[in-house]
Amino acid sequence: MSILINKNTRLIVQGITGRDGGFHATKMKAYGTNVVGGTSPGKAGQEVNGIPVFNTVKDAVEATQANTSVIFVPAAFAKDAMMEAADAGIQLIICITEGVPTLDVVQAYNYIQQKGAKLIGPNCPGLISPEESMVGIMPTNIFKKGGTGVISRSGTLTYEVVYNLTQKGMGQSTAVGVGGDPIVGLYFQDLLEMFQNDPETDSIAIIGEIGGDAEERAAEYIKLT
Amino acid sequence: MKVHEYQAKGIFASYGVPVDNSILCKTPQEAVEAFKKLGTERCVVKAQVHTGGRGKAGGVKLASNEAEVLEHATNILGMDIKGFTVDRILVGEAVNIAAEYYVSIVIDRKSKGAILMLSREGGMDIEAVAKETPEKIFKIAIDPSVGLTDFKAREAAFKLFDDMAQVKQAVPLFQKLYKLFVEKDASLAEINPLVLTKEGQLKAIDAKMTFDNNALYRHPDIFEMFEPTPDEKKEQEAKDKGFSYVNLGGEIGCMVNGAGLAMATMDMIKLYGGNPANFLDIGGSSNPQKIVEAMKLLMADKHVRVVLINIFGGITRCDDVATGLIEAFKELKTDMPIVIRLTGTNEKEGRELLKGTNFIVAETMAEAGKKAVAAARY
Repeated sequence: MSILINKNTRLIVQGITGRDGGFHATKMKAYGTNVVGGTSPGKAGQEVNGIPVFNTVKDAVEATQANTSVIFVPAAFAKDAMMEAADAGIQLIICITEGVPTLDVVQAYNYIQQKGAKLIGPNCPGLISPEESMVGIMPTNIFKKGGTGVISRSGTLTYEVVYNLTQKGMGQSTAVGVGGDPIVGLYFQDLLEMFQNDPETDSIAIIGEIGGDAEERAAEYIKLT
Repeated sequence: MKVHEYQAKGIFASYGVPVDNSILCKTPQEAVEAFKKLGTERCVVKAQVHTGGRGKAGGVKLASNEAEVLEHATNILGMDIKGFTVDRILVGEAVNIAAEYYVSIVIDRKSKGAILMLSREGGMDIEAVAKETPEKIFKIAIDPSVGLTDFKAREAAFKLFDDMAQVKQAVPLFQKLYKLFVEKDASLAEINPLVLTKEGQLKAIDAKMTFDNNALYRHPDIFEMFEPTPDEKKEQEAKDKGFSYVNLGGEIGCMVNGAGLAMATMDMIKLYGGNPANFLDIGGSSNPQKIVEAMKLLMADKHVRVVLINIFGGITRCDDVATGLIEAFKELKTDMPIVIRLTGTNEKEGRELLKGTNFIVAETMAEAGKKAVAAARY
């Protein structure tokens, strides 16, 4: 097992006709992620590497039964994109975009909460359940299926740690990059809980980052449970 | 991004948050004129610098007559406060203080939104209050979907005031503060102290604001107030090229892809007895031109004696990075020792390519740290 994403993940890519969106959609599909569609207003009917493009997330969900969305739109439009996904019934929203204004994230997060969906990011590398699904911009080749859950606020330092884990034979159940901004969605405590309840995860690695007291709070949570 | 007190007060005033009367001055003569214009018995002369602790440094003085204003203004202008030279002072009316309070709106990571922070311990270093007597600080979360409602603002006001007359003044004041916080994309809007005058009026006699750098694109009026320090200028230059750069004054220049890995690299240098010259995150890509630019930035720092390059090849392959490095250094022509540590995809091929070059190649981060420290010592 894994957390959040697996073989049943049906992913759409918001901003799929952009340079980054298109590039990473293709990469994710090549890894085996079930990329069922993408959105770009005014570009419905087009295809990106065989992936159908829709005008709205709502159209995409209706046509493909997508349950997960990854966002690659520019920072100024990220708030709207996150809310659009939640409104269309997407359950898990991953925002890769960096440089999103903090108060935009506050509003989008609040809206997503009200819709009962989950947010990862913004300004994050996404997540991967090795050999099942990768959503985001992670370098897939360093990961290996296994029992270690990875939670990280950092990018390349995560890869460094995962690379060493894999070299030592410790594969990963799921690795999540939560993002480095002041306000992001799912955090240490939420993910610790999910990993705790995942029968296949037997160990957890947490990689922190400067700023804030999230690491201290995670340590307190671990102590309590 | 920081602004000066007088600029923050300007924003406050434009939203109807009551502030003391004050005039910005650039010369002692202007200060004397300002004092006359204010027409108050006493005035406060305050240094306008982008740092805290002005009072302790002697940058805030009370004056009761023109001679004193002239004296203080002369002393404060040109003063150095924590590396900042004072080129502007604010001359403000000295209000009759009955009580002082602390009020701020700030982004709270834990509740994932803006909170109103309040304390009856106004005029003090709020971080010290938070550490020593946390029970004296009240935090009220603001629901972004409805904003600072009347009842929430009242709840907050009752934390500070027992008198309904003051609560009635405080409620709209808090709401205006929240409005400007949101509309200007602030990350902090702080009044310390908020003063209750002997005449029964609430007034912000100090104001501090910082703004979300990510949102400056939609606030040209705020961005206009940006006054970069020399360090910030260098950081901005780096940012324009797609880097994050912070000068730290050590002798080992660092070039790393990713902020977390850069921090870990600096830790490693420290661990082996060296001092990092800087934090430099060159971001995801490793194209040769970016490396050339980054090297130029490092070599412009006179303290740098060795450069440590630590690249994790994730999406980018190590052999591509190695080729890029070799190409970049053909253009640079430097005899500075360069320690390179490459890990990740195609790392063996990458290291193979670097064989026979002048680069000092390391396999692990520890090895790279040791080699860089050794090279810095000659």
